[in-house]
Amino acid sequence: METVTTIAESVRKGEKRAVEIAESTLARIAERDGSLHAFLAVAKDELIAQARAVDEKRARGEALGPLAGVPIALKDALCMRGVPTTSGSKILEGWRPPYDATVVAKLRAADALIPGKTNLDEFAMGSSTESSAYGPTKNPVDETRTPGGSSGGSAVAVAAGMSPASLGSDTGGSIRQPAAFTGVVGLKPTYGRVSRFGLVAFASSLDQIGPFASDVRGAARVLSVIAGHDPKDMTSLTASVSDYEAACGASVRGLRLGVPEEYFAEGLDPEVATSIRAAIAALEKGGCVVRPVKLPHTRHAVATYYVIATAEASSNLARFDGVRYGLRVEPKTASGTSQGSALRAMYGATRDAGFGPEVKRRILLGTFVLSAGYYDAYYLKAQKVRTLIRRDFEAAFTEVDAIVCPTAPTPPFKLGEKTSDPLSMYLSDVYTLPASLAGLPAISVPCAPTRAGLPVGLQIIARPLEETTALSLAAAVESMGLTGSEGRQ
Amino acid sequence: MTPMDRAQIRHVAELAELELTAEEEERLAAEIGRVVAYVSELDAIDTTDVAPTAHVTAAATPGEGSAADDLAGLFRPDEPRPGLSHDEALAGAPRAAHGGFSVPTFVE
Repeated sequence: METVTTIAESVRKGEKRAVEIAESTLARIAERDGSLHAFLAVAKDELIAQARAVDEKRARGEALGPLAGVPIALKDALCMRGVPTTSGSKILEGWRPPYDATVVAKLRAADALIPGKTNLDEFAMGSSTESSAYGPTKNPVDETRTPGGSSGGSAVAVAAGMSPASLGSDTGGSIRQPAAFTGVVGLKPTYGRVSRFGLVAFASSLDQIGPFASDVRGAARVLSVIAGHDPKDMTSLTASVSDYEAACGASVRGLRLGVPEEYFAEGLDPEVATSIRAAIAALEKGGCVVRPVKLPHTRHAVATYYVIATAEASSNLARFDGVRYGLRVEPKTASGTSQGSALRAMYGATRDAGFGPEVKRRILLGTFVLSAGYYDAYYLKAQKVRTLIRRDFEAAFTEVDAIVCPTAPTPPFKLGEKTSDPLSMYLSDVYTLPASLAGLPAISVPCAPTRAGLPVGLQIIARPLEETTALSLAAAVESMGLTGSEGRQ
Repeated sequence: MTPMDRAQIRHVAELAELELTAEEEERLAAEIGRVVAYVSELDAIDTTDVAPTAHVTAAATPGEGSAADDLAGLFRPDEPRPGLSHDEALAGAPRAAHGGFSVPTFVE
């Protein structure tokens, strides 16, 4: 399959026209997406117009950007001017943002092509893309299974060859877990590395935008375009942007890798464990130094995360009230006569009709943990445990340069398998949540699949702003071509 | 931790401006009760003298300094800048009237 970098080079050299790429992208989406449902909107006219502009720019002899003619699909939580943005919710159905997210503006400036908006769990709340109000996305490896989530559509767009790269957002694993489930590369940058201006907010102390790509170098190139400070997002970091692509070719010899025993505990699928251990052994053979590390608070990450993320979500989602954008439901009869009742009845009816069951659960849980009498016991307590989780990583990173572990405890699960039990769905994020809570960069790179051919992802977690280390190791794993025979002769 | 009852869910729903049906109240009380019981495991962790983490930045050290210290100087200058036009700001509103967002009566 063609990659981000091979497409960009062929367009820059004039071997291929951007319009041809746009047309073949649309053909591929038409062929594959009927059954997979990765896209919520295909921006056909915009795509062709962008491609023509790239070809004209080249014809005028102007220099082309680093993503010239490269299709990059957008998770539908990212605003693109004039193109419907739903965040997977009925409450935003039909809304067209009046502005571009900063990452979208940066992709445009780099001459990328944006084929459309991809499916996600409603407001990115989920681990399977099944809570989308517009129906689930299927895993192209096995269509009876989920692609993971919440950025399932963006992962599948890449896995099924509809787009060589895409953007997702990761709050508790929403890039890494679907990357692992679909056999592609997914990178969550350091908290603050990429501007979130124009991302529909879920949990603001955790949300981060990052790339999916068919190869590590492609993810590196996309990150190099979208990273950097943005005055429109005051949490974006001012630190200079590293050379991510150069890191993909760097030697990993001598790098110290920590293997946290807590990530190989009860609940880890044995075939996933075999694949991960084989990948770590291959890195050791390649010159890395492997040693055990302890991250003792790992087992509390799920509880910590679901208190903090839902608290922040309950606040962020208060903006959907039927007044400024999206759905509005006016009750036929006002339920009371006191002051403000008609307004509050409209709020209640709009939010009840517009939000799906998982979003309601999280808003209610988040409101509960922030409410009088419970704040200290739940929210403040979780913030303190978050400090302990961060200290675990700080201590580990005095001894090692990166932490290697599974991205998810199981291979992709079946559609419908976990939808009736919210808690079992939450527990499927157990290995991705700690790095989110600590704000650390982490990548999922494919390693050997299971016997049944289901994808497995190795997660590599690095120090703050050391995406380069994670990319070097991921590129090394990729180059080993792990197929499954290594771990089980 | 006792599971949540319907009165508690109704109170929280009112705070969150969510109008739930009777069926939703019952189901959500049970589902959220189970999650609350699960997150109550945090109770057993010793967090004596541990400072809360409200945000993470690459510069911040866990548990040291307040959010105000970490984020010092992150204010932008308070100067007028071009933003959305009046029409653009109203374009997404379900109902607009007289150049503003239209809402049901809330003051008699």
